[in-house]
Amino acid sequence: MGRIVRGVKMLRGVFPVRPGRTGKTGMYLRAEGRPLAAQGIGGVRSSHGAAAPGPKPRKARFLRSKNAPKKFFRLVCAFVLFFVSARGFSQDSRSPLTVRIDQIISGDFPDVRAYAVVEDARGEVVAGLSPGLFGFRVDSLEEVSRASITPFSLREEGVDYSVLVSAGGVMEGEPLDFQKTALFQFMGGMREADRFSLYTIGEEAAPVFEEMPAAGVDPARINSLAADRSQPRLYDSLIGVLRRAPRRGTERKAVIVISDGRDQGSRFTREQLGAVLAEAGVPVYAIGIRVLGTQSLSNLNEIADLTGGSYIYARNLGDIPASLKRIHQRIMQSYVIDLRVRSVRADGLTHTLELTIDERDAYGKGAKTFTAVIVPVPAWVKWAVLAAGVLLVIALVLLHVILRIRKRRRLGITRRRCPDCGRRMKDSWDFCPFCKYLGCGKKKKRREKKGDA
Amino acid sequence: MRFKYCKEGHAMDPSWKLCPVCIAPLKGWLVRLGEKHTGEVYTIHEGKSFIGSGAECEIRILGGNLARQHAFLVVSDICSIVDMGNGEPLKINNAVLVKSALIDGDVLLLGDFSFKIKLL
Repeated sequence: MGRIVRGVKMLRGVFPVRPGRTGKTGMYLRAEGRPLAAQGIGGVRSSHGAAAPGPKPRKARFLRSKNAPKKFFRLVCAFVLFFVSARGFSQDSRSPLTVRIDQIISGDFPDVRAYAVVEDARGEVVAGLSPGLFGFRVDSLEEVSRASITPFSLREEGVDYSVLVSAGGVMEGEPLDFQKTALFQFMGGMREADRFSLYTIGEEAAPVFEEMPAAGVDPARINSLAADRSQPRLYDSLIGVLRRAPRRGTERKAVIVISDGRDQGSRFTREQLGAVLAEAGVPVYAIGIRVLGTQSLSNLNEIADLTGGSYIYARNLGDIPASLKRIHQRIMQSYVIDLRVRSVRADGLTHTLELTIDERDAYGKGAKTFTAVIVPVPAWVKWAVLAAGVLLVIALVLLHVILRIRKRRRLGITRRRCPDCGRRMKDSWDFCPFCKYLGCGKKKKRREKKGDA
Repeated sequence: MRFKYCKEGHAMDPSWKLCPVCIAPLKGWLVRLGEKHTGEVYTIHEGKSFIGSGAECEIRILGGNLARQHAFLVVSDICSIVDMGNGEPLKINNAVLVKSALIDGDVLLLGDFSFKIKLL
């Protein structure tokens, strides 16, 4: 009996109760004019013991009808349309933005400065975004503190450019000439506060000149660059430049590499380079040029991606100046974000700064790690505390002396001292009671000894 | 402003290890009269001693309308007292005097307090 009830419940799911019909179970038990028991539904067996063959399911009959393929096709079309439209609505119709955080300076943590570049889908730099469109998260925690966002071009802050050019044997001729031309054009766009260091990729980064303003660079030094026979040790050269960069005073730094990406015989591996790049936090911009082949260019792309810089492939050697100019523009059109991080303590560990741009018709997100530096007490603070301490001690000593003088005056003692024993005397005394009643002590003897000597 | 005091209550300069008043030989006592003040005694040492309420006085008596430097006592072979002219007049044996020699048993009126002098 229980099986029959279960079968009825199942049928109710297939043929729901329609209004106007009696809800008697018997009506539904007589589906297709035959009692369920006769149809074998619900596991009721016939008197012969075998389940009686029932009618074919409704779906099967539907498919066997003449219009079945048409109906089926319509149904499928409807489903497809529904899913496509649903997906279309659910998908963000806004165009994507690429947010690259070039560099994060967290030396004065919790005050953090980030340099970010925003690019649209075509790779064009998006400038002039309103500060209200920016959102920040540190370690997935919403950073609610106020941030100041200014375009870098409006600031007088300089950039410390370190440019690595390839001057290996294969670069002789046009490749080197175009690199020189690019450098001259690049210097033309530099600002007064910018500093320029030029290195050649060789067995190590060979400095041509370092930390020069654009006006101070002697063009002859760039013109004198000549191809040599040294092996292009790209990784070693890059690490050498990155290790020199932090010693300079300029906050914002950028390393630009013009190379074909070949690395021959470097002492450092790619993993070691990655570690150094992550530690330095300096963006590396790369211009890839094809001289012998393109198989090594991926090195440059990886390096640029790893550091938050960008990689540009110069299809022709003549594109090198334009590529360098583009990188310069990208640096100049970045945003400077001054942020006070409140959600993270200074623990010396690495944290992630997430930057989102939420515009009406565009959306973008970028992230970069930074170290929550435990800021030691600055030297000037130490000196100030020391000076304050010394001044306090001097003030206390002076106060003590002044109070003692006032006290002595109240006792009637000014400057008078006993000529024999040197003890202080009251002004009213005719004689020194110490000398008279005690006899002159050691002090007198000492004085006598001094007099004899 | 706290002073350094000797055992007998004389204010001392911090550079002094001994009280210059106490090291002088004892010459007598100034005993306060009155039932309530039994045992209130001030020592008199040889030499010059100011009597008054000031910290600089060798015989410092607080209260009793005494001036900071009320009188000046000199004890050597003889004992004499001089009124400093500040505050109430000095009375010796009920006589107002400005200056007088003292002998053992004289009664002094300094301000509101009466003292008997005992000399050795």
